Amino acid sequence: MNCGPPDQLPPATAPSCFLNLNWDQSMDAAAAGGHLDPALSSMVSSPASNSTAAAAPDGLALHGISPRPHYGGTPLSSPPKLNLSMMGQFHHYPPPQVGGAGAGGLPILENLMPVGHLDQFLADPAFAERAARLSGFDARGAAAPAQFGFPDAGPVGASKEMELRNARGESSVSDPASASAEMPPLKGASDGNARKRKAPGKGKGKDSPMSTSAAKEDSGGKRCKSMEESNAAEENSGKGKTAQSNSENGGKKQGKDSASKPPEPQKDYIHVRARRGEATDSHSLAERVRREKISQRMKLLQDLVPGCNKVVGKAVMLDEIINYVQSLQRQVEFLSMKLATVNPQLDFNNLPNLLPKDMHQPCSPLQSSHFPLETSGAPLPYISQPQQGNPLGCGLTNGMDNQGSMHPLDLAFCRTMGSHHPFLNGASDAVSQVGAFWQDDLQSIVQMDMGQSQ
Amino acid sequence: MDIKSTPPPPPHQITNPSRRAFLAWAAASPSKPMLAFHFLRSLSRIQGVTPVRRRTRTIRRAAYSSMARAASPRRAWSRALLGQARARRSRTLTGRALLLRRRVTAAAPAPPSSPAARSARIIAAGGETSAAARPLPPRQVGDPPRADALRRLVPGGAGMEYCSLLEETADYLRSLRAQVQLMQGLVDLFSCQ
Repeated sequence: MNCGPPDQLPPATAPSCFLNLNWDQSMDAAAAGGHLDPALSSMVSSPASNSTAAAAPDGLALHGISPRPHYGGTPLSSPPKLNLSMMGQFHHYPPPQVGGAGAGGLPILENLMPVGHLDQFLADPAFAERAARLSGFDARGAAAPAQFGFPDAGPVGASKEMELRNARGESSVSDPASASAEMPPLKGASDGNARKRKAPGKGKGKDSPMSTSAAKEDSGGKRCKSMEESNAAEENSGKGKTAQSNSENGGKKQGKDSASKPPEPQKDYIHVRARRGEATDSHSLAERVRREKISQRMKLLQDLVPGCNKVVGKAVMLDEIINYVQSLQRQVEFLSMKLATVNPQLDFNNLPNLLPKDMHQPCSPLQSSHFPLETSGAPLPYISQPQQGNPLGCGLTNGMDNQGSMHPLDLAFCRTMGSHHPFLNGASDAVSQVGAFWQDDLQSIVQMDMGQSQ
Repeated sequence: MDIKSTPPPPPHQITNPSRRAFLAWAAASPSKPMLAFHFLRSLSRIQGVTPVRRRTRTIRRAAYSSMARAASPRRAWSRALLGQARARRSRTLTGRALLLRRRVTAAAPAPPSSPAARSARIIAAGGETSAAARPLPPRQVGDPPRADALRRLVPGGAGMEYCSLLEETADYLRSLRAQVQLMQGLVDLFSCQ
């Protein structure tokens, strides 16, 4: 039991030893993250005064996390999230007295894991992003998250803490957007970055507002360079289907970018700007474009399908769409059954009335003509007017496909309409319109008929 | 041919709510008059010709055909629908097959034993299924889980990517809704007399 002497904080020994116990357990078993977290929280929430050792809890968290890949236990993804999110909450607490426990814990953990492994762990872009978010949570930037501050630890712990702080300082300014994990030592801008990183850090989870999630800060040329690299990569790979990001997206950035790459807007394919915190290779960019297209179309569909406004989520939306399409098809079936049983009161009178002039205008030109759909008396005798001269036996039972067979039918329509039509003044121009649409010889026949009937 | 001796009401009195409603509906979107034209024309044909027992099916097919005609030919679903109608027509109406089918239906549900009928049907069926059994593009492995149900519903949806499937679905929905509205209007019109 190498629980170091926590001279500042006697009560912290218990948590630290507890931590150590848990630590040993976590070495063997997988998925001990749950054990680790309460230990961490108990440690951190206990009051600590000083703010010197910056990254000890992070170091603890790091150490808590990093052995896992080495010991092949839990996957790396879930514990970091747990630990760091908890760490993120800790800044609300008064500066905790974690010092003794931390200092005590550090040498312990040092034995288990050299600090050099931190780099490998820090190279994880997801972790780097979260570390950046953490650093953004405290307004003091890399100076120290006083919440995690330690009191003046012993010399053993101090050296380790300094090392960790440097490492953490690097992580805090590392560019989360660069998957290449380059760590630009922009410590000078780290404070400003940390402050401004809050918004993009939070906005990263959002899907649509690319502009808000764009890095609005000017974190030096590194980000521009990564953007340029991504753009260059995407242009060189010849991807032709990337979507144009919003123009206000990093307007300052585009100023810098366009200066260095003038031919960018002149290319004829659409450009995508990789958002902050995302991978910038061409595959993920294309994937993101595709996802955005899909979400765009889902929104369109959402407007079409009634009652889908409150539904959130693609799966449920898809189900709703399927149900709606099925219900519409069933309605078509049902209505066709009803129309089949309805007496053939329709047809000849309706047809010419509904024909617009050249099939592309609404029925306004026909308003002067009759619309005897509602006059039941007049249509009935029309029915006795069968399509006598029409070779309907040419197999048009299943709907019309060839225009050639239409003409005799239309001729019959015109004839019947012209002869039986009570509203000849209105019908004449309608029929002439229809005739003009059909063919000239038909028109002549129609006018002949109308002359005869009058 | 005699005219029924009901005096024609002057045109300005025929502003019926149903007529106004119909005109408003038809003016709502540019494809609706086309829809009305095609559908009513085919309806009028059907009413006169088709025997009653098969009228439902025929009217339904006419509805889909008129939908496809009124839609833009750029749409994959309209092309697929018209292709289906054409295939159906060619399958049912090749001369010998028609005769054989009549004989078969007259002879009750016994399967036809004549090789000609079988070969004709097989050829026609083979023509259709070969068109339908084209290999699917590999993109479809990345679909969300219910996408295949949507593909089955939307005509021509089997060979599309998910992205264009959604777009086709939107257009198909619009057209379907217009068709349903038209048919509902017609039913109302003729049932209230």
